[in-house]
Amino acid sequence: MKIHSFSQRFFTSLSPLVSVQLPSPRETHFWYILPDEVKNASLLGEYLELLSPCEKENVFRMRGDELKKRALLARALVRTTIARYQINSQVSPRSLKFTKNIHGKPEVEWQQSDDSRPPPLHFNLSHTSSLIACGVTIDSPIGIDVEEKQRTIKNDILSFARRYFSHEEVDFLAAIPNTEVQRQEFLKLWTLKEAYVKALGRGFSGAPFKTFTIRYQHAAGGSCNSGNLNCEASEIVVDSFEEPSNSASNWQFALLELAGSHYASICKENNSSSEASKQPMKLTVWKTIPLVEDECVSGTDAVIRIGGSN
Amino acid sequence: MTSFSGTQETRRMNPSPATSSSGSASTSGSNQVAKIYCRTDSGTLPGCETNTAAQQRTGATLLVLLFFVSLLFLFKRDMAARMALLKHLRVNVRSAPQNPNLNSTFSSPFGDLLRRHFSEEVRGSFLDKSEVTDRVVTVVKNFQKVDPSKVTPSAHFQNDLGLDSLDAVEVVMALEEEFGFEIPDNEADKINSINLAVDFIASHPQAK
Repeated sequence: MKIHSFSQRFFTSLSPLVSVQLPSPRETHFWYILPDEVKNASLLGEYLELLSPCEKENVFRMRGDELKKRALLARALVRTTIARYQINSQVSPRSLKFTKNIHGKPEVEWQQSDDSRPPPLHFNLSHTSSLIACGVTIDSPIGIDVEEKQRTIKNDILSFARRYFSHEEVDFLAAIPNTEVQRQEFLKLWTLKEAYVKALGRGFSGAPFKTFTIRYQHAAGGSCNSGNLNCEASEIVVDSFEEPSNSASNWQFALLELAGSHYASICKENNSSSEASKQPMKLTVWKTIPLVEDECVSGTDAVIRIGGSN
Repeated sequence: MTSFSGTQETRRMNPSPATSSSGSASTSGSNQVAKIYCRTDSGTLPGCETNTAAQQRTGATLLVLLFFVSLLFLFKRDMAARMALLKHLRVNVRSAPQNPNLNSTFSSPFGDLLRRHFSEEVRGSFLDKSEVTDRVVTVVKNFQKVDPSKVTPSAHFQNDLGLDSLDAVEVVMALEEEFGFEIPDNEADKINSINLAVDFIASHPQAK
């Protein structure tokens, strides 16, 4: 319905970007696109105009229309999302410049104005063929990852886990008798681990997956074991073996089921005091078609929080 | 150099009793037993000890000589001859079970030791690049979500094949199975195209 009305509206004019207040320090904003909902060629043309020459080159380097579209939507999403926050009063999606940290994590390269320090906005992007997402935080590094719930694993899940996951995680998965449940739990763990490594911003080899454990913990302090997968009311924590200081209290997680079809994990550094850190991550989620429409889906069936809500 | 690191790697990955160090320990152990036996039984019979020990030493010397001769041969400057020899050796080894999944068929530790030592000499070499390319392409084509017609030697995992990070890790795991060695995380991180996978495997002496 909305798409239909959009195509009529599109030929008159694109809506301006709706600006949004920056998230509070404890809050995470999460924006996602369903590429199947973006079919209009002229809209894709508009998006292309937002990209830098280098980004355009990268888009055209992708092989096949689907991959090109996905790459284009990802760049359009990140540019329009950051521009919404109107940092330094005038930021257009097209004028944003990006750089990468030494490990390749993308960052905004802010134009230094006078003596002000660069805005404390952090973002992270993740995509599958059917969903593209961008997470935004203030003052704390963020990592996100999305996977399709239906995604299958070519390797045997336990062999895969033994090669890349920690002993505790292997034990957790091995104790699940139902293979379908095991696959689902594997996917959740994978997205959580990816999100953590992306939040650290050091790359896959900078924080090998075997060197830390993601586990569910009841608010009371006990761990969810595999016999009790019903961990909705649980907290998600990380134990890092290489950096014990980088443990539970420093990182906050949220695990979502999105649009009924995807798992999405969010990891953000905990920059609050110990009391505030016990609060769950505050989260606002939008489904968007940039320059066309935004829909806040927090609290609807499109967003089901399945972990990390303390 | 290459065979040295190969030995280290094998030991690290195979902490079973069937290591060469435990093998030499048992040899010297039986030597001692022979000495003691000779002294107690035949008093100061000089020939007894020398005979047994001499046999052992000759055997050991022969082994050491054989080892050095093969080393010399391996490091001969004539690369063409070396490659030819290695190719020949490789063909021989190929006829033996190569699939890592069949490792368990070498149930006796001694068989395992032999196999490892033998293949290790071969492993001091590098696989032929075009053969590696063919095998890598085949492995990647086996992925369900990949369009086989797009898997060319120059294909980029993300840009051409649409693989994501989980896929990339799965590809690395499949390559480890195919070539019988573990690819370290920091190397796996850099492998984002067929070409890079081929370059890494073809330059890795342990690839089988």
